[in-house]
Amino acid sequence: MPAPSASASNDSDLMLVQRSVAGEQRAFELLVIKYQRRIQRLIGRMVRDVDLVEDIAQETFIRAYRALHQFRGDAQFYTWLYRIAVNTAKKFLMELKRDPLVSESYLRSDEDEDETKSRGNEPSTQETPESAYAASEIAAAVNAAMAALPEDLRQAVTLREIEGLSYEEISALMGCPIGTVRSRIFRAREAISARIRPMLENQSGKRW
Amino acid sequence: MTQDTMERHEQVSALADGQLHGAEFVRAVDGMVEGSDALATWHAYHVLADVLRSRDLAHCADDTAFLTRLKQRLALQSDGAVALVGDADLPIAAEQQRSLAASFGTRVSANDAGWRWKILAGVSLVLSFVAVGWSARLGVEGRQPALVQADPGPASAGVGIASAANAAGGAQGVMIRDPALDALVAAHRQFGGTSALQMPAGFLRNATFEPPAR
Repeated sequence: MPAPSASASNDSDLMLVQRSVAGEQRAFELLVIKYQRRIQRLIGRMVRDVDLVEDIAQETFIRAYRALHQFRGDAQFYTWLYRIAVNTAKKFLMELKRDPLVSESYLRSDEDEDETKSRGNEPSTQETPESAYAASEIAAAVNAAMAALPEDLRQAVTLREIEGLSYEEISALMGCPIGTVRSRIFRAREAISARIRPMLENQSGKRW
Repeated sequence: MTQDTMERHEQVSALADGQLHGAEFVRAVDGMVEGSDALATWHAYHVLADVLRSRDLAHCADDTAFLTRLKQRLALQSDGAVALVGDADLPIAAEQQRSLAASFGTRVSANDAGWRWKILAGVSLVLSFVAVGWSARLGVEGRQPALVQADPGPASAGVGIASAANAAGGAQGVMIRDPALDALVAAHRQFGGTSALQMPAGFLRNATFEPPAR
């Protein structure tokens, strides 16, 4: 699946990195909010225990934060972050394997780092019944909101989020100005987020 | 929702797509202070984008807690700004190291980039060169007398061979000599003392006797 409009999104990430390097931690937090789920899922493919997944994800972002000045923007930020996450997880796993007290159940046998590989219905310790239910509720709400969108909004947000097209490409495909594309994508997002925001706030028990 | 809020959310949407630059970008990022509606919107937009791409990514119950914990850990770093401009692989302060080790449960491994390991590797290399050089020198010095004395003059050939045997015996054990062979070699030194290259052989490897042809 293509990354959403790689160049524009990468430009945005690069600008956030530059502001982080300049000392603005808030910019880095925006990157964390953007990528933490993907990083946790990636690590979750290598490690079973949910607490370890979070520890490794935390360590990944801390290492990334300390190395941000090395990010030049040649590759996508997520690609760079992905390598840090994989290396951190591998190092962590090596440490765990050296520890005779660590149960094999902490580790995934295949240690598959390919995040595109689906686990199907394999149970995971990341999925408590509550979190699995909450996740399915959110997914259902997003799908329901998508289905309820007017056709032009649904098409715009699908082309953007799922197909990964840029505003210019969507504008050409839909035959409308870029300003209209921007507005349609925004309205679609607002409609969907109106449904999921109460769930997110209930789950976290805290507002951002 | 007020017009102002709508505009802020639209800015967030454009920011998520990398469509803001310059002052607009700065204004949008500056607006995302803790507890702000803009930050919650940023989170919601990315959650819905993730869920549209993969249902697996709907697990986001702990996103706020994750970020809170990360901020606490970043605050533990002595100075965030210093940590950013420094080398990511520089050894961190002992306090931070303990803190990270306690929460992460890892030790510094041998392949970590760090000056201690580099110094250790350098010292080991120098020591190994010294050890090899020293042993080579000792070997050369130990062999020298035997080589010199193994090429005696004609008058003292028997004594020279005996001396060489004694010298060699000192370092490598006693060489068993046959007096009849020594006498034979002394009598026919032209066949045994010099190699085909007309250089001293150093020591006698073998001796042959061929009867005169008929």
